[in-house]
Formats: sequence, structure tokens, C-alpha cells
Amino acid sequence: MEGRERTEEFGMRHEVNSPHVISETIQGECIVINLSTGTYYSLQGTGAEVWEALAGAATAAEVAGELAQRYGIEAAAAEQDVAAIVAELVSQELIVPSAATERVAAPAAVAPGGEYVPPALSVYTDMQDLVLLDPVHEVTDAGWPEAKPQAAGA
Amino acid sequence: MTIPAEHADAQTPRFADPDLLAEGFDEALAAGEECERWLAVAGRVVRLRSASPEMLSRLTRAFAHLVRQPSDRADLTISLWDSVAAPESAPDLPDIGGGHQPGAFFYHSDERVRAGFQLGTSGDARVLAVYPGEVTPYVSALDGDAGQAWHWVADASCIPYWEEATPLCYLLDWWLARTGVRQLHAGAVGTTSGGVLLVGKSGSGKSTSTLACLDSDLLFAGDDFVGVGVEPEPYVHSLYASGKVMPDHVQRLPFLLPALSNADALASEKAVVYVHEQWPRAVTEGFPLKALLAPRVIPGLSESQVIEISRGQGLAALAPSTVFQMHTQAGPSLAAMTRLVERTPCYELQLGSDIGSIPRAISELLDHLEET
Repeated sequence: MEGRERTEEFGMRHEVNSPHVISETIQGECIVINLSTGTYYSLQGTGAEVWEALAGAATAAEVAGELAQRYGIEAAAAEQDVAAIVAELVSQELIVPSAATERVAAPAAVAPGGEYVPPALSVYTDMQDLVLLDPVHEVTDAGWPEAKPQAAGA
Repeated sequence: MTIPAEHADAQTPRFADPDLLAEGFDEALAAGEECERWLAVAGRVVRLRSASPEMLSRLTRAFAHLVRQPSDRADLTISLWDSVAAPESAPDLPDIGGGHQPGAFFYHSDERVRAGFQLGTSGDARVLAVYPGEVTPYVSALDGDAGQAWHWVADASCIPYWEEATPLCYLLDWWLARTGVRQLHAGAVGTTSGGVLLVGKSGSGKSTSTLACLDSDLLFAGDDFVGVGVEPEPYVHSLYASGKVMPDHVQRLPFLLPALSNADALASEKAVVYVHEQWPRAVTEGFPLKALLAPRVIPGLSESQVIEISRGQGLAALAPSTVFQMHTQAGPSLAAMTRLVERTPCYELQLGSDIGSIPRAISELLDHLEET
């Protein structure tokens, strides 16, 4: 990523692509489900930390800074890893740009130290048939037939 | 059905309007034969009334273990009908246009009702190959505050076998959620003092593991879907006393063969067993939940065994298949499953070639958990 482009991307805040995407974190492991595509994901360790921070409207720069401090790694390495995972989360349509101007959740209280493992997204597509063959046309509060807009690729 | 204009509601589509559905059911009653059955579901009283004894019989076969004597009050009354005898009783389905999958599900919710309709059979090519051109639209609607629900099918004689095995699952899911009980895609076996959930996607060995326990002292609470309450302690509520397994897997459970309800249809259907009809004392209405097991076939392994896995792995085995099967209000459902898994130890059930070792491994785990 070019320097200027990365700077802009790093200052951007995101949010979970709701209502198409839902997630829960349990004991440091995060499961993310894309209801529109039938794909689900898992993030562990640093991946779950990054997800929680991004879901709370942290910028990539803030996330990278916290990873570098928490695990004692070079800032450049943290930025590279965060840029990669953010790009993947965006490409999978799990997060979208947010209008938030500041973080909506406090940084996770994670103890410093531990072995650093770059954040990674595990992708599971083995249940897509359930969604693609028997799709659900769920409605908004306004009521059917004002169907929710379909996510791209749904 | 004639729909007076004053019934039009800006918030509730006509197919989901409780007043219109009640009118439709009354019209079906006028042309049919009123009958009813009372059930105890997750500790509550459910009354099923129908305009068709045949429809009532088909949609309550899997609930035989929950049947109770009539009561003076019901927590939920479900009205069941088809419109073969009274075409005017059919709900006013909206024009949805063409190009939809046969299994497309149209869902609506507002402050008063949760409702959905499906065009017909699943869009799965394997299903369509067996049911070519068969379209059996249905509507389910729940007015939770009123304790009323309606379930209409165009022709009750066309209810597919899988619906008969796990009937009314959307309605029950919506209603149970109001009571703090979640319908989960899981099997459940155990003893009166505690049991396990067997979770995972179709093909993971969940049903084979669950039904293998029928040849043991373990009690059966469900195969495809069960109700699970989290508070005050995790507890499994049996819903359907039916089991379904892939035809090629039933050969590994030879004791099931004489008990199958559709032994002559295995070329095109999953093997179905109504457990309560064959082993009435093996069916339980529920038990405290002690553990969550994710089955996995281990090639070369003889004796089944359990190993502890993380809560995240347990949630990953449970949640996606439940969310994608039950479709609606997935966020609260996922949150409830997370709270459940936080309180329930998780294990991988490594399946060996000795089918009899499956219930032994589960029993040993339950004994171990009882001691600790």
C-alpha cells in the first residue's frame, strides 16, 4: 500500500457490517458470521483483539499502536499486520467505514506480553448451501416488502 | 378469503395479520372437523387445534412424548389448517414476483407478530429431485403477547417428511425465545441427572452419535433440534422425539432398521425414526446440560473418545449451523449461545469405528463430570 493511501486508511474508522454480520467473542476467540453469504469466520488471539477494537470504531493506527505496545513489537511490523487484516475484513465485507469520529468502546483491557502471533482470519464456507439454496428475505422494521438491501455477493 | 379493507395494517403485511389468520382458521373450521392436542413444551402448556385430524396427527407425531391431558388454560395456542376443503381460508400471500428459490423464506416481524412464509420445498437439488414441481407453501405466525399462533399449509397431504419429523420449528423457535429457551441445532442424550448436546453441521456425525445412544442406557432428548435454557442453570428441553440419519449411515446402526418409519423410501429420503414409538422409555423430556460435544470422525480410530476443546471451538461448532438453520433474529440467538457456552465445558467427541463405543465415551464423560 502506498504511503499516503495507507495513512488515509489508517485514520479511517470502521464498524461491523450490521445487520448482515454478527459476532461474539468468548475467551479470546471471536466468531463472525456473515448472514448474507453463509460464510463464517474465526479470529483468535491478536485477531480477536483487532476485531474487538475495530468493532469499537478504533482506527487501524490506534489498533497497530496498541498491538506494538502490548506485545513489544516494532511499530512498522504492527502496522503491516493490521493493514493486512483490515484489508481482508473489508474485502470480506465484515466491516464497513463508520461515521464515528471517536472510539465508541474503550480499548480492551488485555494484559501486556505474551508471544506475538500476527492476526489472521480463518474462513469457513461449508454452510453456504444453507443460505444460498434456501435464502431468507428478512425485512426491516418498516415491514415487508421493503426488503433489506442485499449485500454484494449475496 | 375475503379481506375487509379495514383490516389493512401499515405495519403488518396481510399474510401475517393475526385477525386475518384467525378469520381464515375459522373458515377452515367451518368446512372441517375441529380437533385438538395438548402438549407440555419446555415446562409450558401448548394447545394445538386443527380443522383437520389428519394434519393434526401428522404434525404432532414427533411430539407424542409431550402429550398431556387437556388443561383449562394454555400458554400458547397454535391453530393449524390447510385450505384444500376451504380455499377461501388461505392467507393472502403477497405477490413476490418470480425468480425466487423454491425454499426462499420471507420473514416479517413487528411489535405484535413474527411471521414467515415459504414458497414450497427446499431449493436443494437433492430435494427437488424427489419432489419435482411440488409446491406446498406455508405460513407461520406468532402473536406472542396474545399467546396465539397460526400455521397454514396449502395442502396438508403434501407436508414433506422432514417437516413431519421436526414440525413447527420456526414457531417454536420464536415462542421459546420469549421464554428464555433457545432452539438449537443439536442432538441431546444423557441421564436424568445430566446430559450432553451433540453439535455440528450436517454430516459431522451428530445424528449418528445421537442415535447410536439408543442402543445404550442413555436417554434421548432430541436429534435435530432441542430447546436449551441458560438460566438459572443450562437445561435441555426435548422438543421432537424423532431422529434423522443419512441412509448410508443407518447401516452402521442396524438396530434402527426395523424401527424406521420410511424404510421403503431410503433411496430418496433420510432415514427417520420416531423414537418414542419404538423405545418410549428411552425418551426424556429433558435434563441439566453438563457438556457440549462436537463429533468428529477420526479415520483409523477404533474406540471413541473425548478431548476437551476451547469454548471458542465449541461455539464455532454450535452457532453457525443453528444460525443458518433457524434464520431469524440471529444476533440475539448468537449472544444466547455464547452465554450458554461460557457456562458449559466443551469437548470433541472423536468417533471411532466401534459404534458401541460412542455411548460408552459419553457415559464416561458424564460420570467424570459428576465426580468433579
